[in-house]
Amino acid sequence: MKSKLRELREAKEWSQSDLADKLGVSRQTVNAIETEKYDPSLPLAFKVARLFKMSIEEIFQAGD
Amino acid sequence: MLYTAGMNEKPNLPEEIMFGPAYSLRANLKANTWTFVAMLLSLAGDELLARHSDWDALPRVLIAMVPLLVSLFWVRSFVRWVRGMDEMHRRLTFEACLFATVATLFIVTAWHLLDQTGIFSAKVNSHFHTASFPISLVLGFYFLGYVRINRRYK
Repeated sequence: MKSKLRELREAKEWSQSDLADKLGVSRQTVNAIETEKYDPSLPLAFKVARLFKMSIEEIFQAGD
Repeated sequence: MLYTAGMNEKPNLPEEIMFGPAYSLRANLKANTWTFVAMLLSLAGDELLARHSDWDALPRVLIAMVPLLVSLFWVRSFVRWVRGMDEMHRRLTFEACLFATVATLFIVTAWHLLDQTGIFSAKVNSHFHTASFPISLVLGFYFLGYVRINRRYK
């Protein structure tokens, strides 16, 4: 799954640890989502969307 | 409620109970104290049973079962600790546990099948018939499985 998480995080000038703290997950999980090695669950995707005040589809897109 | 770790609360990490830079004695004690107690009781029980083969069946059964009952306390503390992880680490831990279970089942079954052929000496065989054998296998395969599976997400 493709994700815009890294660019959104960098636009806010947050580190991976900052974002991890805000989402209640580990830094490794944030890194795995950003590098598209791990697809977040729906509740976590909603949490990310709420944090950036965007819809899930704007942040995550299904890969080919 | 999928997340037990709230906002700004650090989730538990599997690396905290593995020897490495993230190791935490506090986390290890929180998750695994009962395992060490079970292993010690198992070794002590094996020794007692070997020395007192003349004892009645009831005390022998009780001594033999104590490590297993203590292991239930470990399962409870381990489950609580896993619930404190984030979703990715819960998944990693679940996969490592599955790997450890299947690998242990394979080894123990293979051991008993080979045992039927009579190729093991009595000395070697008695050592592997203790309760600490499968417990050690599960722990070993868990760490091996975790390290292997964790590479996928790094």
